[in-house]
Amino acid sequence: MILHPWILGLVIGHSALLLVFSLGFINAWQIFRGWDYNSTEEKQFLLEKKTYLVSTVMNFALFMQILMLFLFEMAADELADVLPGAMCAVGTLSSNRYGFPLLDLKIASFFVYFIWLMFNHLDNQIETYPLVRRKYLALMLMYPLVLGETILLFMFALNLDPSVITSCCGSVYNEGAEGVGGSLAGASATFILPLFFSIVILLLLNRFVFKHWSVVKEWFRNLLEFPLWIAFFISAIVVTISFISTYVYEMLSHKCPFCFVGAEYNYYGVPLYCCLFVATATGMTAGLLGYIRQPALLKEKAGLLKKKMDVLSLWGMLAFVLTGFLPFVIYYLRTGRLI
Amino acid sequence: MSNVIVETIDVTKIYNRGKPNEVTAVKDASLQIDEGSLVVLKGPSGSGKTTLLSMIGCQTKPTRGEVIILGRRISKLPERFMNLHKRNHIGFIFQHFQLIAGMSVLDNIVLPLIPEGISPKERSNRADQLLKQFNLGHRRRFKVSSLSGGEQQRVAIARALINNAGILLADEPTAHLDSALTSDLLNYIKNLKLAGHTILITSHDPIICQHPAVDRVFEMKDGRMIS
Amino acid sequence: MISGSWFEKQKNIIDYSLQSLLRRRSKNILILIIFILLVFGVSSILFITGSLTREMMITSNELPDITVQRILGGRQVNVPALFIPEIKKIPGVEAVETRVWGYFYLASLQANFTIYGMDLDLLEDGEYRKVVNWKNVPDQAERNPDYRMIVGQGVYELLENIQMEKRYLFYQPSWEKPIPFDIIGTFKADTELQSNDLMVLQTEGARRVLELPPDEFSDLVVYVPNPEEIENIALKIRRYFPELRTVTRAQIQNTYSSVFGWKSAFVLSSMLVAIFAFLILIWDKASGLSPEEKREIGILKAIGWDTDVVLSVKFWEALILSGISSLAGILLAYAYIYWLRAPGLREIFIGWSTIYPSFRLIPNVDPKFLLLIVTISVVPYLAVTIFPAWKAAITDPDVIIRNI
Repeated sequence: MILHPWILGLVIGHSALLLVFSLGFINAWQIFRGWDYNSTEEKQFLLEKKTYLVSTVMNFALFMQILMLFLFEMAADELADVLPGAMCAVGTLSSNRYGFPLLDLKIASFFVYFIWLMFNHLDNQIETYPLVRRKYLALMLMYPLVLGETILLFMFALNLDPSVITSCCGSVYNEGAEGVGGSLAGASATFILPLFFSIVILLLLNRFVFKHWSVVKEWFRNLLEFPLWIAFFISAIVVTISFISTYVYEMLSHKCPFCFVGAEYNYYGVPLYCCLFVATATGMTAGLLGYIRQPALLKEKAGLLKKKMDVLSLWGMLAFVLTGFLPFVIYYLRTGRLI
Repeated sequence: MSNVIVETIDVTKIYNRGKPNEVTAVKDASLQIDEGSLVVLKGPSGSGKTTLLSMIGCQTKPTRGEVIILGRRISKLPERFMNLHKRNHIGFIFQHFQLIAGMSVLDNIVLPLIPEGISPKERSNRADQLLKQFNLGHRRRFKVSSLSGGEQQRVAIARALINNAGILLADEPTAHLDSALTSDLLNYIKNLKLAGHTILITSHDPIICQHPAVDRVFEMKDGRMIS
Repeated sequence: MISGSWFEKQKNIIDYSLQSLLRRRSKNILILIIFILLVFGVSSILFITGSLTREMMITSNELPDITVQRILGGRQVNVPALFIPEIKKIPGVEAVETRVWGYFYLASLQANFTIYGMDLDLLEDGEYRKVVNWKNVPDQAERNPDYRMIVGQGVYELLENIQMEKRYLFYQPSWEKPIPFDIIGTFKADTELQSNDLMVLQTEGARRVLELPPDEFSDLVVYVPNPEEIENIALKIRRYFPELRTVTRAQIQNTYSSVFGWKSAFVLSSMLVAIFAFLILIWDKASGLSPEEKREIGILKAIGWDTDVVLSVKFWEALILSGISSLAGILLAYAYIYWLRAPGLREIFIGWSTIYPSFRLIPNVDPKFLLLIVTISVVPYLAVTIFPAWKAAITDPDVIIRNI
């Protein structure tokens, strides 16, 4: 199946990503080992120039990840036509055991690259590049992610078998089904909605209210934000599957998070997921920026960047909630009842 | 009481350090330049004056020593910070003009403004002022390759002035000019000085060194300052 | 100096990149042409595969749930009527219908045709009336109603050359005399995939031509209302009647998909070599800066442009070049497949035959394809130009100060 055009596209995209990231890795290693800010040797000047290469590489990597996420979803959708039993992307992803882990890894990678790029941008605003060693070390530690993704992709592609019947979203996201899909769908709205909104409220409190309460220390506030955003993302996904999807499809049994990304549902999923990803990415970055204590200049610049991230994440969260609950509101206004 | 606007302290530049073709272009050069003055850096070719000028002009970093411009030590700055300083305060006129042949006069002049995000209209306005000042208005859209040497020289000067830099550095500006054009150039430079710019010129031309508008002459030989 | 916004800066950079590309037209033209050709190749394959698959899916939805054939000695033979009640007994089977069809070799045209027998009166009176361009047959009363047929447009045009007194003769050497048929209509153009070698004959006439004994049929068609049961029932039929073979609709669709997919993969992979070579060419070209280019970048750095900005310019140059090439390649492919009807490529996918002259591929381009094509073309190009672009952008301003 590896020569199927869509798989080929994914493979080519990933190969480009791996190649370019490897280039970044090598240079990150050189910079990490040899960086000496006070040196006036040619070697140091060259290392300084290499920082531009690594920045470019990472920008490309992030761009690629975003592209690949879209491509991966589309490919999964298209491949559903060839795999018996699969009617949408979910069927393709569940046809072998590498599909969903690959998707999860991609999403995690997206967030990691974004955060790295924000910290890189921060570091570049200060003459002494205070984060230089740490950020290139972080980059080197990210390399296994790329390798892992590439390996998973090859395993996924090689294990796609048109003669094996796979499940469709109706059976994966079925409350009676075993596995993660089943639990996600089974999470009843009465449980997950309050949880989701609690997290949202907590985030808002943390942002606007807690700073006026002396009881809540600043270090605690800063510490709280990052994990809160992770919780937000996870609960948002659960809400999407167990609640939002019900009102998009207007069916209790159809809970697939991929079907509504396509044309038949007016590409509803695109703005929904964009808002979610942007909100989470900027929110997580803001949370991490809050951890920076010294040096003073770095803390100051970090504070400025954090403000921008705060604004973006808040708007993103708001947009996600509005977009997510729009189908519910429409349905309720139209019929006067719940599904 | 005038203030020192450009200062170098024991500046040294060694090329190809550690390699067989190692060469010390500048050694322990120190100078101070006051604001609004016209200074000449004199010396035969190979004396290191161009290298010293390029270090002051943020084109290359010294191997040792400090370059201080408007009170800021620029020698250790990473490139993007050094460039910011350069863009805001320094205008450089190169020995061989260094214009981009395929581009028009206007496009060449406004080149420094492009990364600043200045709109095309604004760029045009600023350029037009300079074009008028240097009598190049009628050449606005011409490709620079079709201009005479003197005209190209004026385009190069205009480019150096487009960002309202206070400090102007010129490397052997009269090297390719005949005497008539040389005196034209010196007039321009005099006017720029009167307008408040600080100007540093490298030259081995005695006409320049002995011009009445020149405030100070530094002499270099074999990479060292000798006066 | 007052700075403008980030957007203005990007606009300026893009503008400069465009100018820069135009200034170096001759160097970039070669790359442009090769790139366009490669994108053209890949897009053509994707378009034709997509269209054929789509057309196939549309038409195959009309296929029966299960087709039942009888195999003896490895060859397909007629199915006797006695199987029908037995199959009807299987729970889940709604109906079993019979089909009369086969291939006939017309010696005068040296070509094979597909003959399908049905009651043409049903066509004339029913909802399918509009599928046919009906023709006037003179002296209808005298003609034998068993010897009527409707053919595809392509077939009609071919047969016009060999008509005899407006009748068309079927003949086999073993027959006493030829059987003359009247064409009473042609099929409209919508589903040319299937109707181009098709002759639909009145059932009795078809039986005569195909030499089918009275109680036998070419194959059977089974209708199963519940899609989940189709595989099961097909299995049962095969178990109960070992000489019968079943083909389900899903199997047919999958086979077609696989064949198209296989063929496209084959052509694509042979292009991979070309793509790979192209990338190496790009790397080579981009790595070597001409003295002109080096000088130009030196000037930019000397007047205060950051390495960042120069890198942006290089990136935009690459993006504009590859973007325009991709667009051009896609448009050319569209014209080739849907206006010119893919001469050359068509044969590879649909098969060589002189009977299919008036094929019309229906334009049906999914926007998803465009993203895929961009990934296959623009992305590798950008990836390959990153390192050379960086090498160029780090040129020291020194180079123009020290050299001429």
